[in-house]
Amino acid sequence: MEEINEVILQQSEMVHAIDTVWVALCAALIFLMEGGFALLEAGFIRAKNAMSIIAKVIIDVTFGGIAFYLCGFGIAYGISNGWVAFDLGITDQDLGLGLTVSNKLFWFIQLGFAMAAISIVSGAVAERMKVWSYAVFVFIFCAIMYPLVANWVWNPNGWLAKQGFNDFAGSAAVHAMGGFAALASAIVLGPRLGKYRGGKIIAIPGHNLPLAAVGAFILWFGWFGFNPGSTLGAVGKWDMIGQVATNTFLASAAGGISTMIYTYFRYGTIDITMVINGVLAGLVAITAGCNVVGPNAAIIIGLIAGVLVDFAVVVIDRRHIDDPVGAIAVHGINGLFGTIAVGLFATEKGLFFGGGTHQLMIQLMGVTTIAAFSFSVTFMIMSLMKKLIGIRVSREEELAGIDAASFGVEAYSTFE
Amino acid sequence: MKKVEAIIRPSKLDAVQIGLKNANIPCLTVVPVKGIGLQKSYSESYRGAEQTKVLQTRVMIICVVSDENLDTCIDVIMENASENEVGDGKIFVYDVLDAIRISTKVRGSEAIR
Repeated sequence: MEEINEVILQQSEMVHAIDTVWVALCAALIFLMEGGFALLEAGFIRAKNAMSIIAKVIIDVTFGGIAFYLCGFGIAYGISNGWVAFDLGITDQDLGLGLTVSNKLFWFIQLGFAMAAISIVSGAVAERMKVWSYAVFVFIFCAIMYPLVANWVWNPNGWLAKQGFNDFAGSAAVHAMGGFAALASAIVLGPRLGKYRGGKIIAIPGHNLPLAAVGAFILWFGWFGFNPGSTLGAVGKWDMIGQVATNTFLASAAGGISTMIYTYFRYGTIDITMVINGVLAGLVAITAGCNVVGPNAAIIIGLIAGVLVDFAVVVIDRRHIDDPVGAIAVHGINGLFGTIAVGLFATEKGLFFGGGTHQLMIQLMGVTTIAAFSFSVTFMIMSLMKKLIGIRVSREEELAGIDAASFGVEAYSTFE
Repeated sequence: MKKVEAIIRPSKLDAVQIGLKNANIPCLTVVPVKGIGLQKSYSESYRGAEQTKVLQTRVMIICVVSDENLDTCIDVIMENASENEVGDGKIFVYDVLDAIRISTKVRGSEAIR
Protein backbone atom coordinates (compact mmCIF):
# COMPACT_ATOMS: atom_id res chain seq x y z
CA MET A 1 0.00 0.00 0.00
CA GLU A 2 2.75 2.36 0.92
CA GLU A 3 4.52 1.59 -2.34
CA ILE A 4 1.40 2.39 -4.36
CA ASN A 5 1.03 5.70 -2.54
CA GLU A 6 4.64 6.44 -3.32
CA VAL A 7 4.08 5.78 -7.04
CA ILE A 8 0.94 7.98 -7.12
CA LEU A 9 2.79 10.76 -5.34
CA GLN A 10 5.67 10.57 -7.79
CA GLN A 11 3.32 10.62 -10.77
CA SER A 12 1.46 13.60 -9.44
CA GLU A 13 4.77 15.36 -8.89
CA MET A 14 5.70 14.60 -12.53
CA VAL A 15 2.41 16.04 -13.82
CA HIS A 16 2.98 19.23 -11.85
CA ALA A 17 6.56 19.49 -13.08
CA ILE A 18 5.76 18.90 -16.75
CA ASP A 19 2.82 21.30 -16.75
CA THR A 20 4.85 23.91 -14.91
CA VAL A 21 7.61 23.77 -17.51
CA TRP A 22 5.07 24.20 -20.31
CA VAL A 23 3.14 27.05 -18.70
CA ALA A 24 6.28 28.89 -17.55
CA LEU A 25 7.70 28.66 -21.09
CA CYS A 26 4.50 29.97 -22.67
CA ALA A 27 4.17 32.74 -20.06
CA ALA A 28 7.64 33.96 -21.00
CA LEU A 29 6.74 33.88 -24.71
CA ILE A 30 3.63 35.95 -23.98
CA PHE A 31 5.72 38.40 -21.98
CA LEU A 32 7.97 38.94 -25.01
CA MET A 33 4.91 40.10 -26.95
CA GLU A 34 5.24 43.41 -25.08
CA GLY A 35 8.50 43.94 -26.96
CA GLY A 36 6.58 43.22 -30.14
CA PHE A 37 3.93 45.80 -29.28
CA ALA A 38 6.63 48.37 -28.47
CA LEU A 39 8.50 47.95 -31.76
CA LEU A 40 5.37 47.66 -33.90
CA GLU A 41 3.87 50.81 -32.47
CA ALA A 42 7.14 52.75 -32.50
CA GLY A 43 7.71 51.88 -36.16
CA PHE A 44 4.21 52.89 -37.21
CA ILE A 45 4.45 56.43 -35.77
CA ARG A 46 6.73 59.42 -36.36
CA ALA A 47 10.28 59.46 -35.01
CA LYS A 48 9.56 62.46 -32.78
CA ASN A 49 7.21 60.32 -30.64
CA ALA A 50 8.96 56.95 -30.83
CA MET A 51 10.27 56.99 -27.26
CA SER A 52 6.94 58.13 -25.85
CA ILE A 53 5.26 54.99 -27.19
CA ILE A 54 8.04 52.84 -25.73
CA ALA A 55 7.32 54.57 -22.40
CA LYS A 56 3.63 53.75 -22.76
CA VAL A 57 4.33 50.06 -23.32
CA ILE A 58 6.65 50.06 -20.31
CA ILE A 59 3.74 51.58 -18.35
CA ASP A 60 1.51 48.75 -19.63
CA VAL A 61 3.95 46.26 -18.11
CA THR A 62 4.83 48.05 -14.88
CA PHE A 63 1.66 49.85 -13.77
CA GLY A 64 -0.50 47.17 -15.38
CA GLY A 65 1.48 44.35 -13.77
CA ILE A 66 1.33 45.77 -10.26
CA ALA A 67 -2.38 46.55 -10.67
CA PHE A 68 -3.08 43.01 -11.81
CA TYR A 69 -1.22 41.73 -8.74
CA LEU A 70 -2.91 44.01 -6.17
CA CYS A 71 -6.53 43.25 -7.01
CA GLY A 72 -6.82 42.35 -10.71
CA PHE A 73 -6.14 38.66 -10.26
CA GLY A 74 -8.41 38.45 -7.21
CA ILE A 75 -11.29 40.09 -9.08
CA ALA A 76 -10.79 37.78 -12.05
CA TYR A 77 -10.16 34.42 -10.42
CA GLY A 78 -11.36 34.68 -6.80
CA ILE A 79 -14.64 33.19 -5.54
CA SER A 80 -17.01 34.63 -8.13
CA ASN A 81 -20.74 35.34 -7.93
CA GLY A 82 -20.83 35.15 -11.72
CA TRP A 83 -19.90 38.78 -12.27
CA VAL A 84 -17.19 39.71 -9.81
CA ALA A 85 -14.97 38.35 -7.06
CA PHE A 86 -13.53 40.34 -4.17
CA ASP A 87 -10.16 38.75 -3.45
CA LEU A 88 -6.85 40.55 -3.20
CA GLY A 89 -3.37 39.51 -4.29
CA ILE A 90 -2.65 35.95 -5.37
CA THR A 91 -4.94 33.69 -3.35
CA ASP A 92 -3.84 30.22 -2.23
CA GLN A 93 -7.28 28.65 -2.48
CA ASP A 94 -8.27 26.17 -5.17
CA LEU A 95 -9.51 28.30 -8.06
CA GLY A 96 -11.79 25.55 -9.36
CA LEU A 97 -9.98 25.39 -12.69
CA GLY A 98 -8.33 22.01 -12.07
CA LEU A 99 -4.93 23.65 -12.23
CA THR A 100 -1.81 21.50 -12.15
CA VAL A 101 0.44 24.53 -11.79
CA SER A 102 0.77 26.79 -8.79
CA ASN A 103 -1.57 29.76 -8.41
CA LYS A 104 1.47 32.03 -8.69
CA LEU A 105 2.50 30.63 -12.07
CA PHE A 106 -1.14 30.85 -13.19
CA TRP A 107 -1.07 34.51 -12.11
CA PHE A 108 2.09 35.05 -14.14
CA ILE A 109 0.65 33.65 -17.37
CA GLN A 110 -2.63 35.56 -16.83
CA LEU A 111 -0.58 38.72 -16.29
CA GLY A 112 0.62 38.37 -19.89
CA PHE A 113 -2.98 38.43 -21.11
CA ALA A 114 -3.82 41.53 -19.06
CA MET A 115 -0.73 43.35 -20.37
CA ALA A 116 -1.54 42.34 -23.96
CA ALA A 117 -5.07 43.74 -23.58
CA ILE A 118 -3.90 47.14 -22.35
CA SER A 119 -1.03 47.32 -24.85
CA ILE A 120 -3.63 47.36 -27.62
CA VAL A 121 -4.80 50.73 -26.27
CA SER A 122 -1.29 52.22 -26.22
CA GLY A 123 -1.11 52.04 -30.03
CA ALA A 124 -4.40 53.83 -30.63
CA VAL A 125 -3.54 56.76 -28.34
CA ALA A 126 -0.03 57.16 -29.79
CA GLU A 127 1.51 60.57 -30.49
CA ARG A 128 -0.94 62.65 -28.45
CA MET A 129 -1.86 61.23 -25.03
CA LYS A 130 -0.43 62.58 -21.78
CA VAL A 131 1.78 59.97 -20.22
CA TRP A 132 0.56 60.27 -16.57
CA SER A 133 -3.09 60.21 -17.62
CA TYR A 134 -2.31 57.09 -19.60
CA ALA A 135 -0.72 55.51 -16.53
CA VAL A 136 -3.90 56.18 -14.53
CA PHE A 137 -6.00 54.50 -17.19
CA VAL A 138 -3.63 51.52 -17.36
CA PHE A 139 -3.96 51.05 -13.63
CA ILE A 140 -7.77 51.13 -13.69
CA PHE A 141 -7.90 48.87 -16.74
CA CYS A 142 -5.64 46.16 -15.30
CA ALA A 143 -6.94 46.42 -11.72
CA ILE A 144 -10.69 46.36 -12.45
CA MET A 145 -11.90 46.50 -16.06
CA TYR A 146 -10.02 43.62 -17.66
CA PRO A 147 -10.32 41.41 -14.55
CA LEU A 148 -14.12 41.75 -14.61
CA VAL A 149 -14.26 40.46 -18.16
CA ALA A 150 -11.78 37.68 -17.39
CA ASN A 151 -14.07 36.74 -14.49
CA TRP A 152 -17.10 36.41 -16.79
CA VAL A 153 -15.21 34.40 -19.42
CA TRP A 154 -12.65 32.29 -17.58
CA ASN A 155 -13.64 32.05 -13.92
CA PRO A 156 -15.39 28.65 -13.47
CA ASN A 157 -18.35 30.53 -11.96
CA GLY A 158 -18.40 33.32 -14.55
CA TRP A 159 -21.79 33.90 -16.16
CA LEU A 160 -20.42 33.49 -19.68
CA ALA A 161 -18.27 30.49 -18.77
CA LYS A 162 -21.32 28.73 -17.34
CA GLN A 163 -23.21 29.15 -20.60
CA GLY A 164 -20.43 27.51 -22.59
CA PHE A 165 -18.99 30.69 -24.13
CA ASN A 166 -15.89 29.52 -25.98
CA ASP A 167 -13.09 32.08 -25.90
CA PHE A 168 -10.07 29.83 -25.68
CA ALA A 169 -7.24 32.37 -25.44
CA GLY A 170 -9.13 35.64 -25.55
CA SER A 171 -10.37 36.96 -28.92
CA ALA A 172 -13.12 38.54 -26.82
CA ALA A 173 -11.68 38.88 -23.31
CA VAL A 174 -8.29 40.21 -24.45
CA HIS A 175 -8.56 41.50 -28.03
CA ALA A 176 -12.12 42.82 -28.33
CA MET A 177 -11.72 44.14 -24.79
CA GLY A 178 -8.53 46.02 -25.67
CA GLY A 179 -9.72 46.96 -29.16
CA PHE A 180 -12.94 48.62 -28.05
CA ALA A 181 -11.18 50.40 -25.20
CA ALA A 182 -8.79 51.65 -27.92
CA LEU A 183 -11.75 52.84 -30.01
CA ALA A 184 -13.29 54.80 -27.12
CA SER A 185 -9.90 56.30 -26.21
CA ALA A 186 -9.20 57.38 -29.80
CA ILE A 187 -12.65 59.02 -30.06
CA VAL A 188 -12.33 60.97 -26.78
CA LEU A 189 -8.73 62.00 -27.53
CA GLY A 190 -9.43 63.17 -31.07
CA PRO A 191 -7.12 62.81 -34.06
CA ARG A 192 -3.49 63.89 -34.27
CA LEU A 193 -2.98 67.44 -35.51
CA GLY A 194 -2.99 67.53 -39.29
CA LYS A 195 -4.47 64.06 -39.76
CA TYR A 196 -7.74 65.31 -41.23
CA ARG A 197 -7.82 68.60 -43.12
CA GLY A 198 -11.07 69.94 -44.51
CA GLY A 199 -12.60 66.46 -44.61
CA LYS A 200 -9.55 65.03 -46.37
CA ILE A 201 -7.56 62.17 -44.86
CA ILE A 202 -3.85 62.95 -44.72
CA ALA A 203 -1.54 59.94 -44.52
CA ILE A 204 1.05 60.18 -41.72
CA PRO A 205 3.49 57.42 -42.63
CA GLY A 206 5.30 55.42 -39.98
CA HIS A 207 8.95 56.38 -39.58
CA ASN A 208 10.52 52.92 -39.41
CA LEU A 209 8.59 50.17 -41.13
CA PRO A 210 11.28 47.47 -40.77
CA LEU A 211 11.09 48.07 -37.00
CA ALA A 212 7.32 47.67 -37.15
CA ALA A 213 7.78 44.43 -39.09
CA VAL A 214 10.18 43.06 -36.48
CA GLY A 215 7.59 43.96 -33.84
CA ALA A 216 4.99 42.01 -35.79
CA PHE A 217 7.30 38.99 -36.00
CA ILE A 218 7.84 39.09 -32.22
CA LEU A 219 4.08 39.26 -31.66
CA TRP A 220 3.65 36.38 -34.12
CA PHE A 221 6.25 34.34 -32.21
CA GLY A 222 4.70 35.21 -28.86
CA TRP A 223 1.30 34.09 -30.09
CA PHE A 224 2.60 30.51 -30.02
CA GLY A 225 2.73 30.97 -26.25
CA PHE A 226 -0.50 32.92 -26.11
CA ASN A 227 -2.70 30.27 -27.75
CA PRO A 228 -0.97 26.92 -27.04
CA GLY A 229 -0.15 28.12 -23.50
CA SER A 230 -3.85 28.59 -22.80
CA THR A 231 -4.11 24.81 -22.39
CA LEU A 232 -2.56 25.62 -18.95
CA GLY A 233 -0.74 22.29 -19.01
CA ALA A 234 0.76 19.66 -21.28
CA VAL A 235 -0.11 16.36 -19.58
CA GLY A 236 -3.20 14.96 -21.28
CA LYS A 237 -3.36 18.00 -23.53
CA TRP A 238 -0.52 17.31 -25.95
CA ASP A 239 -2.96 16.58 -28.74
CA MET A 240 -4.77 19.88 -28.24
CA ILE A 241 -1.48 21.80 -28.12
CA GLY A 242 -0.71 20.53 -31.62
CA GLN A 243 -4.15 21.47 -32.88
CA VAL A 244 -3.97 24.94 -31.34
CA ALA A 245 -0.46 25.67 -32.67
CA THR A 246 -1.37 24.49 -36.18
CA ASN A 247 -4.59 26.50 -36.30
CA THR A 248 -2.80 29.57 -34.97
CA PHE A 249 -0.23 29.39 -37.72
CA LEU A 250 -2.66 28.60 -40.55
CA ALA A 251 -4.96 31.50 -39.71
CA SER A 252 -2.07 33.98 -39.55
CA ALA A 253 -0.65 32.83 -42.88
CA ALA A 254 -4.08 33.00 -44.51
CA GLY A 255 -4.59 36.49 -43.07
CA GLY A 256 -1.33 37.66 -44.61
CA ILE A 257 -2.19 36.15 -48.00
CA SER A 258 -5.67 37.65 -48.23
CA THR A 259 -4.39 41.12 -47.27
CA MET A 260 -1.64 40.90 -49.89
CA ILE A 261 -4.10 39.94 -52.62
CA TYR A 262 -6.69 42.49 -51.49
CA THR A 263 -4.32 45.47 -51.30
CA TYR A 264 -2.65 44.49 -54.58
CA PHE A 265 -5.92 44.61 -56.48
CA ARG A 266 -7.36 47.54 -54.52
CA TYR A 267 -4.37 49.90 -54.59
CA GLY A 268 -2.14 48.47 -57.31
CA THR A 269 0.66 47.63 -54.89
CA ILE A 270 0.92 45.30 -51.91
CA ASP A 271 0.64 47.54 -48.83
CA ILE A 272 3.10 45.83 -46.53
CA THR A 273 1.95 47.77 -43.47
CA MET A 274 -1.51 46.36 -44.07
CA VAL A 275 -0.07 42.86 -44.56
CA ILE A 276 1.47 43.16 -41.09
CA ASN A 277 -2.00 44.00 -39.79
CA GLY A 278 -3.48 41.15 -41.85
CA VAL A 279 -1.21 38.56 -40.25
CA LEU A 280 -2.07 39.89 -36.78
CA ALA A 281 -5.77 39.98 -37.70
CA GLY A 282 -5.60 36.27 -38.56
CA LEU A 283 -3.95 35.60 -35.21
CA VAL A 284 -6.56 37.60 -33.29
CA ALA A 285 -9.44 35.93 -35.11
CA ILE A 286 -8.26 32.35 -34.46
CA THR A 287 -7.53 33.00 -30.78
CA ALA A 288 -11.08 32.27 -29.60
CA GLY A 289 -11.64 29.10 -31.55
CA CYS A 290 -8.22 27.51 -32.03
CA ASN A 291 -9.24 24.62 -29.73
CA VAL A 292 -12.52 23.76 -31.47
CA VAL A 293 -12.01 24.36 -35.21
CA GLY A 294 -10.27 22.23 -37.81
CA PRO A 295 -7.27 23.38 -39.85
CA ASN A 296 -9.28 24.16 -42.98
CA ALA A 297 -11.71 26.28 -40.99
CA ALA A 298 -8.69 28.09 -39.47
CA ILE A 299 -7.54 29.02 -42.98
CA ILE A 300 -11.00 30.36 -43.88
CA ILE A 301 -11.14 32.38 -40.64
CA GLY A 302 -7.70 33.83 -41.44
CA LEU A 303 -8.67 34.70 -45.04
CA ILE A 304 -11.75 36.57 -43.85
CA ALA A 305 -9.83 38.35 -41.08
CA GLY A 306 -7.18 39.54 -43.54
CA VAL A 307 -9.75 41.33 -45.70
CA LEU A 308 -11.87 42.46 -42.77
CA VAL A 309 -8.91 44.35 -41.30
CA ASP A 310 -8.34 46.29 -44.55
CA PHE A 311 -11.98 47.37 -44.67
CA ALA A 312 -11.98 48.26 -40.98
CA VAL A 313 -8.84 50.43 -41.23
CA VAL A 314 -10.38 52.47 -44.05
CA VAL A 315 -13.85 52.73 -42.47
CA ILE A 316 -12.40 53.86 -39.12
CA ASP A 317 -10.19 56.41 -40.91
CA ARG A 318 -13.15 57.76 -42.94
CA ARG A 319 -15.01 58.37 -39.69
CA HIS A 320 -12.05 60.53 -38.66
CA ILE A 321 -11.09 58.25 -35.79
CA ASP A 322 -7.30 58.36 -35.75
CA ASP A 323 -5.69 54.99 -34.97
CA PRO A 324 -2.03 55.30 -36.02
CA VAL A 325 -1.25 51.57 -35.77
CA GLY A 326 -4.56 49.96 -36.75
CA ALA A 327 -5.17 48.55 -33.25
CA ILE A 328 -8.95 48.95 -33.43
CA ALA A 329 -9.19 47.17 -36.79
CA VAL A 330 -6.80 44.37 -35.83
CA HIS A 331 -7.86 43.66 -32.26
CA GLY A 332 -11.35 45.14 -31.88
CA ILE A 333 -12.99 44.17 -35.16
CA ASN A 334 -11.23 40.83 -35.52
CA GLY A 335 -11.68 40.01 -31.85
CA LEU A 336 -15.38 40.46 -32.52
CA PHE A 337 -15.23 38.40 -35.70
CA GLY A 338 -13.05 35.65 -34.20
CA THR A 339 -15.39 35.12 -31.27
CA ILE A 340 -18.42 34.94 -33.55
CA ALA A 341 -16.52 32.63 -35.92
CA VAL A 342 -16.45 29.98 -33.19
CA GLY A 343 -20.24 29.75 -33.47
CA LEU A 344 -19.91 29.31 -37.23
CA PHE A 345 -16.86 27.11 -37.70
CA ALA A 346 -16.58 24.96 -34.53
CA THR A 347 -16.40 21.34 -35.63
CA GLU A 348 -18.97 20.20 -33.09
CA LYS A 349 -21.23 23.12 -32.29
CA GLY A 350 -20.73 25.44 -35.26
CA LEU A 351 -23.59 26.51 -37.52
CA PHE A 352 -21.71 25.50 -40.70
CA PHE A 353 -21.07 22.04 -39.30
CA GLY A 354 -24.68 21.31 -38.41
CA GLY A 355 -24.40 22.42 -34.79
CA GLY A 356 -27.30 24.86 -35.01
CA THR A 357 -27.36 28.42 -33.76
CA HIS A 358 -27.11 27.78 -30.01
CA GLN A 359 -23.35 28.31 -29.74
CA LEU A 360 -23.45 31.18 -32.23
CA MET A 361 -25.97 33.05 -30.08
CA ILE A 362 -23.87 32.58 -26.93
CA GLN A 363 -20.78 33.83 -28.79
CA LEU A 364 -22.65 36.84 -30.17
CA MET A 365 -24.12 37.78 -26.82
CA GLY A 366 -20.83 37.34 -24.98
CA VAL A 367 -18.62 39.32 -27.32
CA THR A 368 -21.10 42.17 -27.85
CA THR A 369 -21.50 42.50 -24.08
CA ILE A 370 -17.73 42.62 -23.64
CA ALA A 371 -17.25 45.12 -26.48
CA ALA A 372 -20.06 47.36 -25.21
CA PHE A 373 -18.74 47.17 -21.63
CA SER A 374 -15.20 47.98 -22.70
CA PHE A 375 -16.26 50.84 -24.98
CA SER A 376 -18.68 52.52 -22.58
CA VAL A 377 -16.56 52.26 -19.44
CA THR A 378 -13.43 53.46 -21.27
CA PHE A 379 -15.42 56.31 -22.81
CA MET A 380 -16.61 57.39 -19.36
CA ILE A 381 -13.18 57.14 -17.72
CA MET A 382 -11.45 58.99 -20.57
CA SER A 383 -14.12 61.73 -20.62
CA LEU A 384 -13.87 62.12 -16.85
CA MET A 385 -10.07 62.31 -16.96
CA LYS A 386 -10.31 64.80 -19.83
CA LYS A 387 -12.32 67.11 -17.55
CA LEU A 388 -10.30 66.54 -14.37
CA ILE A 389 -6.65 66.15 -15.35
CA GLY A 390 -6.52 66.43 -19.15
CA ILE A 391 -5.59 63.56 -21.42
CA ARG A 392 -4.02 65.32 -24.37
CA VAL A 393 -0.61 66.96 -24.64
CA SER A 394 -0.53 70.66 -25.52
CA ARG A 395 -0.52 71.76 -29.13
CA GLU A 396 3.10 72.96 -28.83
CA GLU A 397 4.18 69.66 -27.31
CA GLU A 398 2.43 67.68 -30.02
CA LEU A 399 4.06 69.72 -32.78
CA ALA A 400 7.52 69.52 -31.22
CA GLY A 401 7.13 65.82 -30.45
CA ILE A 402 6.44 64.28 -27.06
CA ASP A 403 9.94 62.78 -26.87
CA ALA A 404 11.73 66.11 -26.81
CA ALA A 405 9.03 68.03 -24.93
CA SER A 406 8.17 65.53 -22.16
CA PHE A 407 11.09 63.14 -21.98
CA GLY A 408 13.99 65.27 -23.13
CA VAL A 409 15.25 62.57 -25.48
CA GLU A 410 15.43 61.86 -29.18
CA ALA A 411 14.91 58.35 -30.54
CA TYR A 412 17.72 58.87 -33.00
CA SER A 413 20.18 61.40 -31.65
CA THR A 414 22.42 62.64 -34.40
CA PHE A 415 26.22 63.04 -34.64
CA GLU A 416 27.47 60.04 -32.61
CA MET B 1 38.69 77.28 -56.65
CA LYS B 2 35.08 76.46 -57.33
CA LYS B 3 32.44 74.61 -55.33
CA VAL B 4 30.22 72.37 -57.44
CA GLU B 5 26.83 71.37 -56.00
CA ALA B 6 25.04 68.79 -58.10
CA ILE B 7 21.57 67.54 -57.26
CA ILE B 8 21.11 64.19 -58.98
CA ARG B 9 19.01 61.03 -58.93
CA PRO B 10 20.09 58.64 -56.13
CA SER B 11 20.35 55.85 -58.71
CA LYS B 12 23.06 57.81 -60.55
CA LEU B 13 25.29 58.34 -57.52
CA ASP B 14 27.53 55.32 -58.11
CA ALA B 15 28.14 56.15 -61.76
CA VAL B 16 28.91 59.80 -60.98
CA GLN B 17 31.25 58.90 -58.14
CA ILE B 18 33.18 56.40 -60.27
CA GLY B 19 33.30 58.89 -63.15
CA LEU B 20 34.72 61.63 -60.91
CA LYS B 21 37.28 59.27 -59.42
CA ASN B 22 38.45 58.24 -62.90
CA ALA B 23 38.73 61.93 -63.79
CA ASN B 24 41.04 62.34 -60.77
CA ILE B 25 38.45 64.20 -58.67
CA PRO B 26 38.09 61.70 -55.81
CA CYS B 27 37.02 64.00 -52.94
CA LEU B 28 33.32 64.68 -52.49
CA THR B 29 30.57 65.06 -49.92
CA VAL B 30 27.16 63.48 -50.44
CA VAL B 31 23.96 64.68 -48.73
CA PRO B 32 20.55 63.03 -49.02
CA VAL B 33 18.05 65.75 -49.92
CA LYS B 34 14.36 66.20 -50.71
CA GLY B 35 13.28 68.87 -53.11
CA ILE B 36 11.06 69.98 -55.91
CA GLY B 37 11.95 71.04 -59.41
CA LEU B 38 9.98 70.98 -62.64
CA GLN B 39 8.84 67.39 -62.06
CA LYS B 40 5.20 66.80 -61.14
CA SER B 41 4.25 65.51 -57.71
CA TYR B 42 2.97 61.96 -57.45
CA SER B 43 0.73 60.11 -55.04
CA GLU B 44 0.89 56.79 -53.29
CA SER B 45 -1.53 54.90 -51.10
CA TYR B 46 -0.59 54.36 -47.44
CA ARG B 47 -3.01 52.28 -45.37
CA GLY B 48 -5.93 53.20 -47.63
CA ALA B 49 -5.29 56.95 -47.52
CA GLU B 50 -3.88 58.76 -50.55
CA GLN B 51 -0.57 60.38 -49.89
CA THR B 52 0.61 63.15 -52.21
CA LYS B 53 4.36 63.37 -52.33
CA VAL B 54 5.42 66.84 -53.38
CA LEU B 55 9.12 66.51 -52.57
CA GLN B 56 11.31 64.14 -54.55
CA THR B 57 14.18 62.19 -53.08
CA ARG B 58 17.55 63.17 -54.54
CA VAL B 59 21.18 63.28 -53.45
CA MET B 60 23.38 66.35 -53.49
CA ILE B 61 27.05 65.94 -54.36
CA ILE B 62 29.36 68.70 -53.17
CA CYS B 63 32.91 68.91 -54.45
CA VAL B 64 35.44 71.70 -54.43
CA VAL B 65 37.71 71.71 -57.47
CA SER B 66 40.45 73.85 -58.92
CA ASP B 67 39.50 76.24 -61.73
CA GLU B 68 41.14 74.06 -64.38
CA ASN B 69 39.22 70.96 -63.19
CA LEU B 70 35.82 72.66 -63.18
CA ASP B 71 34.80 71.84 -66.74
CA THR B 72 35.89 68.22 -66.39
CA CYS B 73 33.92 67.91 -63.20
CA ILE B 74 30.75 69.32 -64.74
CA ASP B 75 31.12 67.20 -67.87
CA VAL B 76 31.56 63.99 -65.86
CA ILE B 77 28.48 64.73 -63.73
CA MET B 78 26.34 65.59 -66.75
CA GLU B 79 27.50 62.52 -68.62
CA ASN B 80 26.75 60.13 -65.78
CA ALA B 81 23.70 61.68 -64.14
CA SER B 82 21.52 62.27 -67.16
CA GLU B 83 18.52 60.36 -68.40
CA ASN B 84 17.64 63.27 -70.69
CA GLU B 85 14.45 63.73 -68.68
CA VAL B 86 12.89 66.32 -66.41
CA GLY B 87 14.00 65.38 -62.91
CA ASP B 88 17.64 64.71 -63.76
CA GLY B 89 18.63 67.51 -61.39
CA LYS B 90 20.76 70.66 -61.50
CA ILE B 91 24.36 71.74 -61.05
CA PHE B 92 25.32 74.92 -59.23
CA VAL B 93 28.81 76.45 -59.24
CA TYR B 94 30.14 78.87 -56.61
CA ASP B 95 33.39 80.72 -56.01
CA VAL B 96 35.36 79.50 -53.00
CA LEU B 97 37.34 81.97 -50.86
CA ASP B 98 39.72 79.52 -49.27
CA ALA B 99 40.23 75.88 -48.30
CA ILE B 100 42.18 74.49 -45.36
CA ARG B 101 43.27 70.92 -44.81
CA ILE B 102 42.88 70.47 -41.06
CA SER B 103 45.54 67.77 -40.60
CA THR B 104 48.41 69.62 -42.32
CA LYS B 105 47.05 73.18 -41.99
CA VAL B 106 47.81 73.71 -45.70
CA ARG B 107 45.69 76.45 -47.28
CA GLY B 108 44.46 77.31 -50.75
CA SER B 109 44.50 75.10 -53.83
CA GLU B 110 47.10 72.84 -52.16
CA ALA B 111 44.44 71.80 -49.67
CA ILE B 112 42.06 70.38 -52.25
CA ARG B 113 44.62 68.39 -54.17
